[in-house]
Amino acid sequence: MNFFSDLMITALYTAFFQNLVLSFAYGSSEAVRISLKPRAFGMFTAMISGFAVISGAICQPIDSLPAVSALPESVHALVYAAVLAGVYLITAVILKIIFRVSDHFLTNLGIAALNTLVLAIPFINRRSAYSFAASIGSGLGAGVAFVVAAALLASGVHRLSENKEIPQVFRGTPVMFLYISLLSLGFAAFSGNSIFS
Amino acid sequence: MAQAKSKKDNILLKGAVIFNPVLIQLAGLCLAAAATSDVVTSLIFFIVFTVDTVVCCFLASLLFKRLPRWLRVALYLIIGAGCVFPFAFLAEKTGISLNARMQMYLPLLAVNSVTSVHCEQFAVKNTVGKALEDAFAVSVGYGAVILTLGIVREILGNGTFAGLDLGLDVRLGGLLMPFGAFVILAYLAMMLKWYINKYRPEFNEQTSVKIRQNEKVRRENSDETRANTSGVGLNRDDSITEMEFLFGNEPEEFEIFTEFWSPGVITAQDIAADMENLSKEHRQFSLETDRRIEELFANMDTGIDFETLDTVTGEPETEEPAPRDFFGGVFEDYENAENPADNNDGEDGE
Amino acid sequence: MAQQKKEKSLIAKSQSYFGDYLLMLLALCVPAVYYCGRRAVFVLLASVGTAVFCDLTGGLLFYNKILLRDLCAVFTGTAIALMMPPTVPYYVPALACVFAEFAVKIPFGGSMKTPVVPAAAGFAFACVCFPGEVFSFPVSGTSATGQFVSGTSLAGMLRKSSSLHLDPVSVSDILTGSVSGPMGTACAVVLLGCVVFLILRRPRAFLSCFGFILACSVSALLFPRVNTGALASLILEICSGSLLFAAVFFVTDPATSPKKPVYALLYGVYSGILCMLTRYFGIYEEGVCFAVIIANCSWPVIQSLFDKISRNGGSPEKEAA
Repeated sequence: MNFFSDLMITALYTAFFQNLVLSFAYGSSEAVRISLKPRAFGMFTAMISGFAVISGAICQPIDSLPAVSALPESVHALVYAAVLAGVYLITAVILKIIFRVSDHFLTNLGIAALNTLVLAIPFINRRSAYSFAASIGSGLGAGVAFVVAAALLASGVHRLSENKEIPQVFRGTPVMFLYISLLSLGFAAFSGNSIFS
Repeated sequence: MAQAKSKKDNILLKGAVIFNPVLIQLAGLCLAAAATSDVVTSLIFFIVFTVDTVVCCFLASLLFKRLPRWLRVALYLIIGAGCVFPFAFLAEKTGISLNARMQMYLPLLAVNSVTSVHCEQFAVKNTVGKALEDAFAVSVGYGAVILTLGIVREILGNGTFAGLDLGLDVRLGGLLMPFGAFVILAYLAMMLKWYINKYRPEFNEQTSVKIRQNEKVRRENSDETRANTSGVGLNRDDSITEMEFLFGNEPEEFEIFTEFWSPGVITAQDIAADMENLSKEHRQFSLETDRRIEELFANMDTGIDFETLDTVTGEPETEEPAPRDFFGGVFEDYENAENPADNNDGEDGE
Repeated sequence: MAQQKKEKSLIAKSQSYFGDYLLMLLALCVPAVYYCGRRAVFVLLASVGTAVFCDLTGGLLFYNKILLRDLCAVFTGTAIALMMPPTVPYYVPALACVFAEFAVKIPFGGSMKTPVVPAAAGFAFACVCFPGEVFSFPVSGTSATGQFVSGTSLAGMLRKSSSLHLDPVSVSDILTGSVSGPMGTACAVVLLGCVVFLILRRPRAFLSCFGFILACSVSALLFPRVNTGALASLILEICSGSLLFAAVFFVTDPATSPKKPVYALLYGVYSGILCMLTRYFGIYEEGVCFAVIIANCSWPVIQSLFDKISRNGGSPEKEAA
């Protein structure tokens, strides 16, 4: 029971109250790009959640080993990168050999796996001293945070596309940046600026 | 000789300014927005980013050309981690105080999308020399943005410059948060857009973010062009009115890397040819739609009324693959939803 | 020609809306000046002056025309000033107005096209940048004399203590705004008058306001932050901070709230829930402006879901009709 409550609380906290994408900008490039292609939402989000959960679940027990936990931060970064690369390569090989998916699909799998949001999850888990259940919850929450951010951005993009009053110099990326900044400002109510100041 | 120099300048100008990785291509936003809150951090990130990009592009151009793409992206991560590790380790060992933010974000440079995009789109398709030129140009473009962010945010947000107190009484602490960085990025992008509009109008079209027009705008446009079209005025050519080199628009497409600009690989002619193909497809679609509508008009006597025309005209939309989005097509519905701002049009009785 | 006509119609609509809202804001300025003295006037002047100046320069720079006629800048400046404490340094509301104008109103195409309420965004910006200045309120009655004594607002009390009784702060003080809090948002009686004005002048806008207050009230009753009774929770939650103010002025914003009555009501309820979430889980004592921003940005997604549900639930004949 504790396992599931830990998992759910961390997932909710990561997804909504500390939205990793909007409050901390992890994976924001991918969220912006995916927001312009809503058709890809489901697949991409599932991939991100999957990789975040798996890498978090693998890194947490590794981190809890006494020999590893004493290592400097930079070595941890190497371990996390190696784990993520390993998880991605194993998944890609399995999909390639058993399911015979196309190279095109695998490329997108790579984009979903190898981004700042997924790589940040083990760091967050370590810094917050999350348990195994909470680590999985944080991975799931990262996926939800991503879809929340991408959905909000997508709806914003459509509104902006309809808005013909936007001055010429603001059209395109400037107004998109401003829209992201407003979303980020909204979610600052839950995160504040303590870690950034 | 002069021509070669001009070409080199061109690559530098395009890679660093016109197609700036952050301001135009919207790549590398995480680190630009979250980690660049002071000059020193930005400078360190710039150096590490440059090393990472140059090494990745060099190896990609030299060794990875024959490897499949899905394998290459993992190699970029491994190389990136290898490039970032010495800096992080050195900083820890020499006692350079890394703030919490930097400790967290520095390793994430290993997976920055700018490097992967340029390795994939340029380095693996070109010679080592050209790949290095591109890597250098991109690093300069990225570095310029993150250094500007670092300077502005540190001065306005902290009241310091490189750690030195400037004695400013008013400090906008919010600018140190990602939302502050996005506001500054917006104004930097605005200035770049102004520059392109004024001095480089030939790139105006290519540097715009384009998204699929929604059904409402499409219909408005088709109303405007109704007089010039056959049938009853449904003009499918309006579905993509602007070129979408950056984010793509093919229904089945789930591709991000290839949508980025890559100097020397995609030329203006290629884009024009693509556009022509797209137009052909849409014309064909339009003709097909018109044919169906004419058929329906021909069958009007058998019970079809004008009331259903909207449904009929919307029908070809179903020919495209159904969206596979998480919300089960919510965005397609959103496209048909009214703009909240327009909702108030004609609000009466108040 | 058609473009000019459309533009004129937009300006007329904007003038009509913001004219009404300014009238209500003027009513709120009276208790603000009564309780806070000259200081309130200066804060208002700094805020409105900056908003007008930014609107002028922004309009000339990016639109090559003067946008002031839509009255949005005056509304934004006044609203931001009224949400501030009287002790706030003048640069805080001024910078909030700069943000509201240059990051929200001007780039997104003017008052009737903004994706979020500029005043809410400006105040949220001030909260994030200057939390110390924005959330330090003087004890009521000490401002008028110029000798400020630091106090705690109702929202602050709610945040800090769960055993808050209505006795130390009498209900009449709460209703008349004679409590520590923002300059213009503490006087519940005037705000309730604004609600009545809204019912008479803009019934559809009132629906959003009603939905918002309803959702907040239900949340206050179901999940009280005080353990001294449901009634105390209800009164303290509704009358504290800028909740009522936001219900009247931000949730009913013409550019961001939906037109259809049902959606207007649902939008109000949704914003109210978000507002209470920011109060319960947010890090600032007043999170209503953040909630308004999130509601503004996320409502189109929610509305599309409702649209989808209603379409699926309706019969084909109804849909065709």
